[in-house]
Amino acid sequence: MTKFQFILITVLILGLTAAKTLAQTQLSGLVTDEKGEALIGANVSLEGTYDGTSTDVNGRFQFTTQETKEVTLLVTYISFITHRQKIQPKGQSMTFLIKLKEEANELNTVVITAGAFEASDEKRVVVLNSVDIATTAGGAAGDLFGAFQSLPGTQTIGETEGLFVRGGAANETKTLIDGLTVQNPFYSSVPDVPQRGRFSPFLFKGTVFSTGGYSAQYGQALSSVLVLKSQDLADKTETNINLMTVGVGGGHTQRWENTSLSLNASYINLRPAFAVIPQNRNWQKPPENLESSLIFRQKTSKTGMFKVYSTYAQSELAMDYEDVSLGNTTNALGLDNDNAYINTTWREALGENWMIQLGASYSHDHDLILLNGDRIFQQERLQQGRVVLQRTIGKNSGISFGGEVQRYNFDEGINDLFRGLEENYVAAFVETELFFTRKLAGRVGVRWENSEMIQQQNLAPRVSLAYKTGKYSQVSTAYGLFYQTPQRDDLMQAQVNQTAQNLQFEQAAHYLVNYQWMLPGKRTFRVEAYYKEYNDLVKRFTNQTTPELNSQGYGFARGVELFWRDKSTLKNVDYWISYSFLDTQRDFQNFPTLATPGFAAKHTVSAVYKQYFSAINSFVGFTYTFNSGRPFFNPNNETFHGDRTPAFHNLSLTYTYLTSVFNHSTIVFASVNNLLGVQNVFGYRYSADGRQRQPVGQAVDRNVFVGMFITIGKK
Amino acid sequence: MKKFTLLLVCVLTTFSLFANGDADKYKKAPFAEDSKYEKAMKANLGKMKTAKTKADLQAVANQFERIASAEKSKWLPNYYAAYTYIRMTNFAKDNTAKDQLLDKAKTLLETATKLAPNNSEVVALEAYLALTRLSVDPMARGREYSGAVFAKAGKAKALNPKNPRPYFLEGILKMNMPPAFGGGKDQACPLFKTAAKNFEGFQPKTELMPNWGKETNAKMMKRAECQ
Repeated sequence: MTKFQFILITVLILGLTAAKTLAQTQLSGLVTDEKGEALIGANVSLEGTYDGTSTDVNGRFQFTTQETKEVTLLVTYISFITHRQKIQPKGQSMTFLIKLKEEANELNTVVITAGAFEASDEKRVVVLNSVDIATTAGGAAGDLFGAFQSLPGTQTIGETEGLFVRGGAANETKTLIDGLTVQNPFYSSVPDVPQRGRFSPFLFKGTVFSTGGYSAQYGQALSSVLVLKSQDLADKTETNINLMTVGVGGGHTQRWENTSLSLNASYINLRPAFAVIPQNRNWQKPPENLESSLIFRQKTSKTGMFKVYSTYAQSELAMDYEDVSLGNTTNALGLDNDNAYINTTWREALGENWMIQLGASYSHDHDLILLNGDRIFQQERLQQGRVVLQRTIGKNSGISFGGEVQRYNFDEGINDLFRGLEENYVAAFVETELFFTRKLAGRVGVRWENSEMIQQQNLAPRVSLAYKTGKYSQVSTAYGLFYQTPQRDDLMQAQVNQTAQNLQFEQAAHYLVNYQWMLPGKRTFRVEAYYKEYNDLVKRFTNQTTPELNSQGYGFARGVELFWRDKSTLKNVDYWISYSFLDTQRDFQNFPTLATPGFAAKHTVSAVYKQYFSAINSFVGFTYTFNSGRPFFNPNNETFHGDRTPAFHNLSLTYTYLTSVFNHSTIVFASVNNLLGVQNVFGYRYSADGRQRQPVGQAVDRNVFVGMFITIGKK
Repeated sequence: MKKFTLLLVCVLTTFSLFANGDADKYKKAPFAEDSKYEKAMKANLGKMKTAKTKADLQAVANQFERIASAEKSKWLPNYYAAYTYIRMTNFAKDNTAKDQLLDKAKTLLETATKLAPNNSEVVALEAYLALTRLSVDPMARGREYSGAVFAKAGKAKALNPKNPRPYFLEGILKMNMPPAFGGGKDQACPLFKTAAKNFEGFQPKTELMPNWGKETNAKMMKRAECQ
């Protein structure tokens, strides 16, 4: 190698190194969250190149690039919004201070919870899911409404069905399926025998049980709404066979790519069970039901879903009962009921931000009652249509508006006398849900309603606000006015008196405040306080020959409720405890004065405990319910509703065993309601002279149910 | 000397490309591209195998994502990034954190599916994703996600019956299901055995192709006391 060559090489190498250094840009910096906390492991890169690195334990990064044209600096971190920044590397080192914003998600975003208990299988931050609802002991086994009776705000009323919420009567709670009111969610009422709900909890993928302050989307409920969202396409093709101590049932579900169809039927006869389990009612013919249902789902497009749910049920029963208040005779009651219900909905996205939901339903309920030889018939029909348009604004906010129409017909007759009424109801609403920040959200809405029968309109404002106070906690508050058309029997009387137009909408104002702490999937604590003011309740003056009605009833309810659920401390154990304190008085119907109604207990406690034993593939669940005494009318006491029943206790047990029969998945389910056989008394009836009284007790002291549910299908 | 000069010119040309920072031209050369891609992938796969901590896995996932961002037509970087995020759930504190990782894995897998539709390995990873979703809350999610695992594993098997991973994943699910619902050791063992047989015969087409699960499958066979 000559000297020249050596120099040449040296110069070349030096020159090249310099050139290379010149074109190489060093990028360094710090990545933090909004509060300035370092983010470890954030991905820092130049879009479309291999250049980049991850931030270290101090959130710092450093890398070099040979890019010289404009490129995009990309900083990504899980659950944070991606940072993009155009940069022009020029050879000099560049430093960056990057603050990433957290993405809104279910955990870090406030939710409007005041008044509502949400159960969902889709959302991850909820209090209950559908399995929780189905497996809660107590009430009637597997009854949709049983689980809600274990939540704060509800009363345990053992002699009749329905959800009695915060001092409200059962008719102040409305049940809705996909936004449409269900006229008869329970089997027909019989004196002193609580009836089951008509729907299986597995029909629904989500429920919102609101005990106050709910959305302007819902009306005609003074106290509470139970909003049920039905399942979309069925999971798979399968056949079910149900064998129970009370009857048999079965069904088949067929799933195609975009369509599913389920057909189900069941036959229930309580005669064998009643023959074994001692009953406190004198059944002449134990309840016998025949039911069928059809569920059709069609995915009409990528975003569209068409649903039909239809049921038809027939039931019969007969019993003798004594009622001292009607004189000391035995009454013979027979009841035949036919119930048909069809609910059709369609939803579709209209472009990127709009969504439309259309719904129509028809229900027909027909009771034929034979009472001491008199033929009484009652028929209710409800037709409704509903349209809702929703527009999303940004990631969380949105506005929705819509309207609904209902035509309600009620006809009744005794022997050859008939009468009927027709009510037409129109409503419209607009509501906006606004996320001012991820920590502060509000919902403001207004609902307008018009009743043809009472010739009244109302305008109901609804407001709620929620503020996130910590990573797992938030406070929320709500206010709203709620209206309800007077009940059908009041309307009928008013029509007879020709005073319907003198009646007002019954009104309740809700004020509530709520604190919730929730470790998703693990523990929940919530406390809620409320005040409710009732006005324009219907009053009946029955001492005249024709009962007179007016809308001058009023009242209040106030209370505090606690809820604690823990499914993580003990392995395979899930339990929750609810406590409700209720102070309520009202002057309505035939009350002579302001008094606590018979369906309101001051203290209510529910405790639910469930444990899974993997060695024996079994779930065991207990539910204990307590409430302090409820008021009843004693004609010998000068104070109206001055007496209290004894306290109520109920301990129920469920046992679920997972097994297989002929290689088909099988669930064996057994439940014992009122395990200890406590003789609860719900009230007393007095003879006209007040000398005799008759306790209203349980229809059955200790009820036992066993069922076997077999699923045949691909595992 | 002539030879030397020629060499020098070559070297100079190459360097000048670097010096100009003309990476585009460099990348367009197909041979060079593959070698850079392969090199980066191999290095990162090595790191993935030895990753012990959450930070290690995060760094590996980040690198796969960076490769994915540069190599828009390759499904493997997205596939491995998704796989790494699924594995990171072992280090996540709570269910929400796990779901966030799985949401990220899902997005990456969707890109992989677009780039390589009907690929047995991608579909098998979808089965793994569903299985991990299920394991976050088996009581609440069992019904929904067990169906998804079987459906995806079934599809992966149909696309390539020799792929051991769908059998292995199905085996894990069966092992954790109550016998009453078609689970248990007796049901899991045949699947683990098929997986083991396939693992033995499995020759990835290239070094970069998915080749995970063999060791865990062997462990599962031991735990299930397969005969």
